[in-house]
Amino acid sequence: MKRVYIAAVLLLLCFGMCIFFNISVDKKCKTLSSLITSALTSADSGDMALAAHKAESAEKLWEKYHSSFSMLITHSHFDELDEYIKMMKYYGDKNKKAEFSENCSMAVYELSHLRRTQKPDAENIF
Amino acid sequence: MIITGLRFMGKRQIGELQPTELVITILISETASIPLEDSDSTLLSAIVPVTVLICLEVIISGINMKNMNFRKLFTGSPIIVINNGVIDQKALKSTRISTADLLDNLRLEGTFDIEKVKYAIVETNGQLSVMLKSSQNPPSAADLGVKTEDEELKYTVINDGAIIGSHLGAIGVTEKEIETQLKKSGLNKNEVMLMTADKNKKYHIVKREKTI
Repeated sequence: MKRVYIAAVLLLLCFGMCIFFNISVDKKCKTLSSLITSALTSADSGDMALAAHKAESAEKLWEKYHSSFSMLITHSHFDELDEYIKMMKYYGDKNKKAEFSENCSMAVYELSHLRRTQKPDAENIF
Repeated sequence: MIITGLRFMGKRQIGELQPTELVITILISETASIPLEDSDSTLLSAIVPVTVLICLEVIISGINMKNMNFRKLFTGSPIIVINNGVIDQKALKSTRISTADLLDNLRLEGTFDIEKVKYAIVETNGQLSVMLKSSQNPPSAADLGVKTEDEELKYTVINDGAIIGSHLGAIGVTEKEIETQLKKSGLNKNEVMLMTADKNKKYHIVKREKTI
């Protein structure tokens, strides 16, 4: 029976780990998304310097999150997001508002998509 | 991880498999191969499901031990295919075992004549258990009225020159006694390939050949 108890504890640990990682990914996506949205708002209001600064912060934050995302999510699922964030920073530095805004919007969309696909709901399970 | 998991699941998993065990073993091997085949997948995407499968199997087998109904549901029941010397054709049909398969399995069990069989049971793991008619069973020492001494289990005490300490305790022998026994045979432990002993202190020594 000792093994059964160990198995039950391990099972609970696995569930706990999955819930924790799910919440963690969701939280990270939200944080990154709000930072990119605020960069987009700054660009829309014409303050490209502030927008570029926020994009730089978003890129740094993304680099920080990258390793944990790589550990938890299939790598190809966030390849495009990685590209959008890098391009966002590039266009921000080059002061190209239209391209910057487009990449910001795409990054926000990818983040929301990532959040949706990681949710353990009926749509994702079946 | 898989080896640790199989060890954790116990010896049952390595021997004959019950339906649930078979399914879980197949699933584990399939799941474990995902990150090996696909570098895009994360290692956790295999570790977590494999751990969950192993834990579920251990929990299911634990409940199986305690609850007969649960056991019946998950592993099924043994089916008698030869009952009192008569083939139960309905049972044979329900297990989808042809008469050729039945004869195959009987031969594998050492029975070449179906008329000698009193009972044959298909176990839950698919194996066939055979009980011969009493007239066909070889007589035992008790049947013949011969007095025999019960044999004790022989433990390996030296394997390839190394004393196996854990076995010494089981037969109640000390390392010194083993060395004394070896001295009597004019050997030291490095010259011994195999030495067995039982609780009655009966020793058997196989000397190591010098060329090997």
